[in-house]
Amino acid sequence: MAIPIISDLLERLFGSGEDPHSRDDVKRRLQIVLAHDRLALDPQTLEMMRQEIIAVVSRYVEVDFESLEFSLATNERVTALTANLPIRRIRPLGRGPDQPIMPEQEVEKIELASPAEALALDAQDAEAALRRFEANTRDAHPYLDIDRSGLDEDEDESGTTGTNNSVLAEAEAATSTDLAVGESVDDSFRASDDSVALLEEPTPEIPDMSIPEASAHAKMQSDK
Amino acid sequence: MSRIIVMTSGKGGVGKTTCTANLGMALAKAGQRVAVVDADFGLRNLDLLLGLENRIVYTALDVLAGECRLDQALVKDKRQPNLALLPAAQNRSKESIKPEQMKRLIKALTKVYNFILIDSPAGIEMGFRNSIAAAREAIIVTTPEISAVRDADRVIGLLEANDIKAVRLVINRLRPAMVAAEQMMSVKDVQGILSIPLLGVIPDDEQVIVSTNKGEPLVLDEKLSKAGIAFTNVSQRLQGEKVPLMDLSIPQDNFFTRLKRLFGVSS
Repeated sequence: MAIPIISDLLERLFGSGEDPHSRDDVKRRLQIVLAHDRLALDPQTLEMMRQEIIAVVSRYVEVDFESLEFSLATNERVTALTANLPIRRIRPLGRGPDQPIMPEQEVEKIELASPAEALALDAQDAEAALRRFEANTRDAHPYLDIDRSGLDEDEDESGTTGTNNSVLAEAEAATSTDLAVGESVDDSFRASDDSVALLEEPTPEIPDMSIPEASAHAKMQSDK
Repeated sequence: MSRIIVMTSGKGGVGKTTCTANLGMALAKAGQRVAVVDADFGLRNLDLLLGLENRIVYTALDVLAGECRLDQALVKDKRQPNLALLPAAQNRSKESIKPEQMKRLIKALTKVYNFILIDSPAGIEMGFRNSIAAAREAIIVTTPEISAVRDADRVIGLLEANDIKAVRLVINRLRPAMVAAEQMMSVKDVQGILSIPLLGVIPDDEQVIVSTNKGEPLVLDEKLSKAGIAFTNVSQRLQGEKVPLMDLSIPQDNFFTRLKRLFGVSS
């Protein structure tokens, strides 16, 4: 009985310690909600734009998917889209998804140097080269492979299933049509046939701005 | 030239009608000829806050229907002869009047009154569109709450889209103690977010309810309450006077004031 009274007394004398400041919460929430209200852009369109920006940037640099951020902010009644895309490294020239390396060329080179040696090339070598190429392109574009997780039994991808990934894969497929017209050499772009319909009819269940977490999640899984 | 000002907020219950009644009365006290127009058809309340509910004979709709003249519908305030109320119809919907008709009424009022305050209904539908149709200026009434500020922002956008550029802000029901405790947005926070000029700040005051009970606007009180002073200040700023913002800061809450309060010593 005495203890609550004393603690109450102390609280009234010294203030109630750590008071969470709801003022900061309301300001933060308002800034976000007003940015969206003022832009009057529907979440589907916003998400498509986001995916396309990532796809374009990814052609030139490797983006850190775990910490990328898209946000809308307003200041003085003007809305700005801010994309924060941390760059891991610049893509080596000629190794982007639009300029796939041809393993055949390497083989041809050896043939030219010495036909006898070329004959000695066995299937194993060719297969090793192909695998190296696939590993290369996959490493450069990890997120492009997510939709293939069910198709090929790659050890990298075995763990990647679930709705997060499929949403990402759909959206990614939708952007890749635009970017890879006439250049679908790499099988990473196989999804483009299905994606035409997706472009015309954006799937309503694509969430608004929650994809950064989803992509980060997918990446973490595929890293295992 | 008459000033035609719409009082609007988007959200309901933030104090539009209270502001209209007090501002109208304060302007009339200052010698302006003021008409307050209730544009809330179907849910009229301005008559109650002004204490004029028993004197309504005709409404704006009767004027438009040709059943009476405009001056017959106008209820002149006996306490303050410079003030008149154009009542809304209570038994009809907001769709019973069109923006064009509202313009005709307001245009007629400009011949006699130099301030016309239009009390807009909540929402952004027909009633809102009617109330802004004739307005040249707007006063946005909001409270330092998330929903009120969001709705205010939406309304500011709609006013801009309707070419009403003179838009000013009144922040109602501010609680300085809560702001000091970082539990409420400050005047600066709200104004910063909405980015329109500030016309005034009305502190949260129990006297507002007392005054509505009686049907006597706060600005008529002999000894003005804090909210009454704030409304008077807003009316002066509206007339172009430079009046500094009221000091709403609360006494420092420190160890000694708490000690005093604990032992019942009023500071």
